[in-house]
Amino acid sequence: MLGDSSKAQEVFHTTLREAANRAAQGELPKESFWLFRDARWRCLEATKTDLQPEALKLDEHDVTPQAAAQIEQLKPTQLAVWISGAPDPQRTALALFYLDEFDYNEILDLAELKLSELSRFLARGRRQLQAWLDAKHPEQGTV
Amino acid sequence: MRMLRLLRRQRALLNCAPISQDRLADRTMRAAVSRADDSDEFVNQQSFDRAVAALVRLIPIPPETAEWFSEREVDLEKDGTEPRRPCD
Repeated sequence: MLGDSSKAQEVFHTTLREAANRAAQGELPKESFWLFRDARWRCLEATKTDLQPEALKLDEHDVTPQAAAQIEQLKPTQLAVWISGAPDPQRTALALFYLDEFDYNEILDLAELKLSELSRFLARGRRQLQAWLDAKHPEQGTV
Repeated sequence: MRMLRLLRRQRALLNCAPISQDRLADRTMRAAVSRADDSDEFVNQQSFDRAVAALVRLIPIPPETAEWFSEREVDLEKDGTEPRRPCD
C-alpha cells in the first residue's frame, strides 16, 4: 500500500497499539476485518501529504502468455513501488487482491467498492502492469 | 438486455477470479470460472495473477514487524506456503 517499509511499519504498530487500547477498554468492533479497514485508512492518511500520482493515462497492453516470465524478472520491491504508485482506490484493490488472502466479497467489503469497480481496477491494473513489463523487458514481450 | 447484464456480470466476476482455488467463494464465481477455464485469455490472466502474488509474498517484512508474528508464521511466509495479512 505504501511502497515504504518504514511508513508501513509505523502504520502497523499504530494500528496494533490502537487495537490493544480498544481491547483493554472492551471496545473492539464486532464487524469482521475492522483491523484491516483501520490499517487501510491509516495507510491512506500516511500518504496524504506525499506527492500524489498524477492522473496520467498509462499505456495498457493485453496480458500475454509471457507475462509470468516477465514478472519473475522483477524485484519484489519494484512491484511494491509500482502498486503503491497507483491512485486509490485502485491501489487498495490491487494490494488486497494480490495479497491472496481475501475472496472478492471480502475485498468489496474492505475497500468499500462495487463489483464493477473492483473488476475495472483489477483489469486495468493488469493491462497497465503488462505495458510496464513490456517497456522494461521488450525482448520478452513478443516471444 | 438481461442477457447483456448477465454477460457483463460474468466478465466482472472473472476479472476478480481468485488466485487460489480455495478462495472460490461462492456458486456464481465457481460457475463463471468453470465456464471460462479453457479460454486463453483467462489462462493468461490466472498465470499473470499467480506470478504477481508469488512476487508479493517475497516483499520483505521489516524485522521489527516480523517479530510480532510467530516464528512459524514467518517461516511459512518464506516458504510461500502460507499467505499473510500485513498492511505493507
